[in-house]
Amino acid sequence: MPSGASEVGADGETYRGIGGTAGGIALRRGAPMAWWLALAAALGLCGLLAVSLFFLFWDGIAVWGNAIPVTWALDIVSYDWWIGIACGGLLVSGVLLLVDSPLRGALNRIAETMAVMGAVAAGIYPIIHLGRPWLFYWTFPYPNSFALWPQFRSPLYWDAIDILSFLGIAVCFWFVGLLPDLAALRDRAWEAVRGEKGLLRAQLYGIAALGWRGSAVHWHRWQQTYRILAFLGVLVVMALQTGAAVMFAGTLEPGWHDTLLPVTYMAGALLAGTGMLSLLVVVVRHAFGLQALITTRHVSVLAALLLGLALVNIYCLGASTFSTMLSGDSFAVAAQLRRATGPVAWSFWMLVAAGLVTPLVFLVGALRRSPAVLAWVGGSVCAGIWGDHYTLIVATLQHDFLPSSAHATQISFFGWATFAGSGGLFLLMLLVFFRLLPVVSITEARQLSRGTGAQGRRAAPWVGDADAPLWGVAGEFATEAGMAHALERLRAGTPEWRVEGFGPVASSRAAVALGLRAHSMRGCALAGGIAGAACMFGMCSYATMYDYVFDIGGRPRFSWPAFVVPTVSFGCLCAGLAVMGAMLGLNRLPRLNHPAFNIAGFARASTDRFFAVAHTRGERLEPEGAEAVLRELSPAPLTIMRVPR
Amino acid sequence: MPSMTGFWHEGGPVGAFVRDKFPAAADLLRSDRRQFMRVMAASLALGGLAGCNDDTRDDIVPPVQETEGQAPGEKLIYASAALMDGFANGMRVTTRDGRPLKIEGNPEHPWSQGGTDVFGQASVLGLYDPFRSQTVTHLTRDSDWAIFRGAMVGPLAALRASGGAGFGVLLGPVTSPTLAGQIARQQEMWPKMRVYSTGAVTRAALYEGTRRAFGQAYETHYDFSGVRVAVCLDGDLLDAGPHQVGTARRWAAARRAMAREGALLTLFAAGAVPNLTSAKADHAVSASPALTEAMARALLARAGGGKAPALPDQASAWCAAAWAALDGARGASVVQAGVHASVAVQECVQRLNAALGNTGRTVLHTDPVLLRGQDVRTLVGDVDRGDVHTLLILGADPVYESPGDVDFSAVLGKVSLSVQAGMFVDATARSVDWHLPMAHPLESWGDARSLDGTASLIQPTIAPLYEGKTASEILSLLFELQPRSALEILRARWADLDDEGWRRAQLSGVLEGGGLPLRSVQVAQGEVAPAVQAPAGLDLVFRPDPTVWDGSWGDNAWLQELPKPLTKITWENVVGLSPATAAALHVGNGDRVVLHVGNRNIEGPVWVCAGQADDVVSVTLGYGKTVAGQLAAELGFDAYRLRQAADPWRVAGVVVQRTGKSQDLACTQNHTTMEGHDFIRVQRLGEAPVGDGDRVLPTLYAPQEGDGRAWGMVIDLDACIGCNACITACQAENNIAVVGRDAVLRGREMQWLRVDVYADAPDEAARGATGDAAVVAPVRFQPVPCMQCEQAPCEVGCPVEATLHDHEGLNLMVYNRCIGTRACSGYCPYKVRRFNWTDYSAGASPSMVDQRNPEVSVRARGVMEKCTYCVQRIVEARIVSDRDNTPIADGAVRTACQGACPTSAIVFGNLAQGDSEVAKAHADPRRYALLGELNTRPRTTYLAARASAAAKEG
Repeated sequence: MPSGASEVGADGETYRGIGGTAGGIALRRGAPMAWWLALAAALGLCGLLAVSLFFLFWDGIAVWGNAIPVTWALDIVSYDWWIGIACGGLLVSGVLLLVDSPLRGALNRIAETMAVMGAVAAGIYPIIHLGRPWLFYWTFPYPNSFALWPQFRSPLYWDAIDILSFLGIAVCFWFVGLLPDLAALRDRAWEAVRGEKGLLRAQLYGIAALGWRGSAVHWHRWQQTYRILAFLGVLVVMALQTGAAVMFAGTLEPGWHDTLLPVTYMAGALLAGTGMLSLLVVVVRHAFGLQALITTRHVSVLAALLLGLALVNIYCLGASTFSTMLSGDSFAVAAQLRRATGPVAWSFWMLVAAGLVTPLVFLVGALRRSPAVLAWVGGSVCAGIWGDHYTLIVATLQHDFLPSSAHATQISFFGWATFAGSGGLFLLMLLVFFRLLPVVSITEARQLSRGTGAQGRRAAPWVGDADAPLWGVAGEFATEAGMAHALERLRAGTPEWRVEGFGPVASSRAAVALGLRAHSMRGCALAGGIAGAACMFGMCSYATMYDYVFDIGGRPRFSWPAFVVPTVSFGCLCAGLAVMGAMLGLNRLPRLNHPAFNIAGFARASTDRFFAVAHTRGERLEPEGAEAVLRELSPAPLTIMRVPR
Repeated sequence: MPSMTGFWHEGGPVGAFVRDKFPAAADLLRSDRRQFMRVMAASLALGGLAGCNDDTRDDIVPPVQETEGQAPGEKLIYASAALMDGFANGMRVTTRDGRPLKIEGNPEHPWSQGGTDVFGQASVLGLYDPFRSQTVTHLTRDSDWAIFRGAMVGPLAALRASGGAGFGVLLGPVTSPTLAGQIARQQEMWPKMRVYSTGAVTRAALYEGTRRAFGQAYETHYDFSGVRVAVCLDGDLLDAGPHQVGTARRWAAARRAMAREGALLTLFAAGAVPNLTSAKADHAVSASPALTEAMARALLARAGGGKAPALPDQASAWCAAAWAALDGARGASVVQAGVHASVAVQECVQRLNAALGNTGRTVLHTDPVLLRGQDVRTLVGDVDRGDVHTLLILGADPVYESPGDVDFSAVLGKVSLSVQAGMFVDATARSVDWHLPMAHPLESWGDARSLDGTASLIQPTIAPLYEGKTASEILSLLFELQPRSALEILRARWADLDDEGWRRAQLSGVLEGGGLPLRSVQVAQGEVAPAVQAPAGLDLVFRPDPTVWDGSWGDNAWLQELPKPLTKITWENVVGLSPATAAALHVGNGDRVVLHVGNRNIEGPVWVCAGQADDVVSVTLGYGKTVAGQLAAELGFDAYRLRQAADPWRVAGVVVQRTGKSQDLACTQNHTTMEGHDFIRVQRLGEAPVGDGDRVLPTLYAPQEGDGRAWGMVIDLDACIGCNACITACQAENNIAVVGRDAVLRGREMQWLRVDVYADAPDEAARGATGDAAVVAPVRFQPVPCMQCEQAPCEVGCPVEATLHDHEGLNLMVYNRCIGTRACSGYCPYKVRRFNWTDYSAGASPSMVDQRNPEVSVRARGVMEKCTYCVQRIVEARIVSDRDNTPIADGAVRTACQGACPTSAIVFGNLAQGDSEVAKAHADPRRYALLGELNTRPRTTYLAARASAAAKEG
């Protein structure tokens, strides 16, 4: 049991209590008025988005207010901002998982959800911002009768691959984390079914849970997969942010041509992501009364994180300003000065005031513990980083080298409407998520609490229908330890039987008992990653060197540095898909019906009961031996039962 | 005319007319006129094109490519002439499949020598203009020529009987020898008929100046060979006008010749309003009209004529410098005054040239080229007295362009029969009894004189699109029993030319033996009339507009969207004020002011013009048209309303009243300082070369293999006068869309080539006291096409390889591959790329579509586009080269901008070919790359502007 558990909330909570708190939100019938109001607002904004997109597709980019020289304005600003938030969310959750922090229990679900939904909100922009959006797929290398390839040296190509990889990894990561919770919801929903009422919901959760049954093997592979995905997520975030930053840093434009930019970008993304996470966490905590799960400790740690990230951003801004001013490049110096004094200086000062200065309030200890202040600062840094993207993109484009081309931009109504609409899309997805899925990971919270199962014993040991074909013999336990002990004994005592344990949390003792320690998913990930990376790098090289040779900006045929970013991100995607596929495949998922579900009271395997099962491999075996092993256990199982096939 | 409002309105008679005549255009009466492209989309009836198959072009001989069995799509090139205010500029018209598409210079033409101007380039669009007049109208209702002729039988019989008594002809600017002959013959037959002439940009002061100096009106010409000094007093030496093409070419050639000798053809300029002449001047001062006149007198006094007026410091210093230069170049200098200079200045200039020994050497005279009748004021009087009751207006719009103190509508109300022939249904067309559609020069037989007197042939390149007839044909129709065709009339006028001579004329565009002989002039005795004390207050001065001229080009979309050379404003005119005057009036750019002269007033936006004289308010003509449904309607303000017939170029004592309102101006360049950089380098005489020389910055990348050709361009900034002909030529050649005022305001103009203008802030120390002249900071022009960088940043950005390099160094655009990420534009340090933010091309009317070059893709919405060195012309030459297995000769490929340039500032060709013109220019020590430190290795480079060693510090 992790030492910090008491401070991060789950201590003393029972597994059932945690499941009830977190899952109950999703299962509750009806929704509070605030949710409906927020939904109405979100739908309104989505309507605005639909109208904006209608005019956009009807008329062209002209409706946004972009022009020469500000060819990229709110579209790319919004894209970079949203993807930054998404990256920040994934990075926070991934890093907390990799360092095994007890803090993540309450935060990871919100962070991961934010990553997926931020990526969706961001992901619409690279398509809709195109002059000819219906041809967006031309950026991808797909077989075509024209024998055309994309231009692999372009950071925009990297970005297309990056966002795809990011979305893939983020969805995998989010879904893998959600899988046990979906099983818990399935079981809770099943319990709540009254006649036909609620059946559909239970069935849907059941399908989404893919037949997850909390087997110790499942848990073992799941944990490894989850961690590998977290690592891949961190990598893909770095690739994406680098790609997005090099989209600017790789040019000659003053204010963009800066080697520090990838770092600045990453720092900004982390700050915005953490800011949005803080805001959402406080809102969720307040709205759903999750003070028990999301404690003051979470609040103060998020506040400290915001403070630290703000200091990193201050350093980045200071360092790039300092080096620019010393560079002697008069264009870069002028661009830097124009950021602070030019027509879009408001966005620069928005960054400084909202993004960099505001988090400094957390230097005061008392304020770090205030959820209200955290929410306020979280929103503030999001706005600040938005200002950062705006000033970076628009200030440079408005006035780069030749003063003759300088032209201020004016974002039109539809430009703002599209941005607001992307916020509506994000909000809508978030609200649906709040309504249907646990906002705090049940699994993670249970992992932290290591609480005890509920006490109580059945009146008598129950034996299943003797006539039915036998699948196995199950023992029901209130504790993980009891189950692990039973597994050890069963494994030793009934060698001709197959032994499996089921429970609501991953059990390391069960894994040891079943000898699973040696099994690792890393090989799958590595193989998938290497194959993906090799394919991408090989394709880029083959096309640019042999099949599609053109003089692009005077660059050499084998421009390998340009291929690194898509190679990394595509490798990550392939590794992620491979490990996810392997996890599901090895666990034989999805499989919606399984004899284990025949165990009486098995629904509690996702709540507060552990089951040790010895089952046959198909031969007709007599159950008495296994029953004897179970009967001799101390403490004895709550129940011993025969499970029909 | 408030009572007329309803007349013009949707429900009024004009509305009914438009609905009837232009069903699609009827929408325009209701629509927001800013939705200009929608206007273009409204296709108008185009039955005229069906007439293309007439064999009326059998008599035309294409001079450049003569092919039997012309293959479809191949070019046919005709020699012809573009008309600018009635004057001819020689040109060649490229046609494909019977459609004239592009105007090129005609090197064989002795006046234009291969140069063109914006008007010539844009004239091809004028042909296809959907707003052109298409049919005969009687009292604004559709009619036809037969009915018109029938209706004229009675009145003409009466006139014939009375010897033409009561008949008046009002001519627009006419130089046509044929037309002049027809009118002279008719005057012989009808001795009592009266001939009047009008023209907004009147040359009356020029002629009056020569009359006072020499006793007779002459046309003044300049021979720049050997000229070392040019002095302009309110001059327009290099500005738009009938003279620009020939004069600018000669000036540039002379400046080059001087530079080869290590000297500078120094240009001095003094004037009230900055223009191309003052911009290109090596020593320019701004001076009010009165002060300019005094400076002219002072120079004349130094040459020994008349008393020298007292001059303030700066004016005196400029005069001293100018005189020193003139004195050292007697017989090898030119003193010039523009059409808008006062008669006294014109006279001083003529006398000064004579005193300096220039007259007869560098300054030559012929009889006036323009056919001159009595002026409009006389016509008004004659009509008032009843001496004229039948009026024929030929090629003029007097209702619109008469000075504010001449109420021409009233004149039309008083005559019993009025007939107007014109190309547009303009304000006059709406007020006369009969309006006759005139043919466009590109569909006409005719002739016209260039400013130097050269008689030029106008050949049709297409059968008339509508029912238009030429002026000659209309006169023939009216006065001759058996109307003759324009060709018959023309051949009769040039009966001296045998078939071989005629054929030569068709090939060269020049009618041999038709030029005007030089006249030797003698200075008349007497002195220049003493100066009149100018009334106090602000002076209002009028100038022709550099893009729509007097308004006659107002319906030309290319010219409306063409940035004015100095202000870079499009689609409207402005009230120009000097910075000090604007500050004194507490107004800035875009503030709307009302100008009052007597009881007439106009309202317009202010533009602060560096280099304009204090206490001078400048406005340009040609805007504020009110004919509903036409492109020019409701753009800008009508400066004619404040004009006075007595002195059409200047009104003293204008009152400027602030309105408190403000507006945005569609300006394509908002910053005109170089911010401390050397985008435009200046090579001072005798100083170390400012060019890049052989310096090459290191690069990580190996050079790309080519196929032996390396296309490149060198632009001589010393020769560039900022006339914009290249922009319009590029627009015509490359099917570049017009986007309208609102889009320009946002920065969405599409022209691939722009001419940047940079002016350093005027030096406060060089400003004189109030009323003195002020030194004008140098203004520099820099045409910026795509630089065709060898290491092009744009290409790296594109994710779909829609922009890439070919083996000859061209930075290409594959339009149908472009998906519109716009990364290339963001990555371009020169910002030369243009994006189709919406479907601009689809908005063009069918008639405009006919102008499009079939060799160039029309770009769809969402596609980036840019200059590709006219790749279609390169490809054409490459195909010929491959077919014939011969190398592409130097000069075989000329880009559109190069072909249009009147000063030959643009050189294009194969840099890898050592003896090519472009390679030679590339070796010029003045050559440098714009933003060369970025190491994009641009193939387009520049030659530094030249300046004298001593002048222009700072």
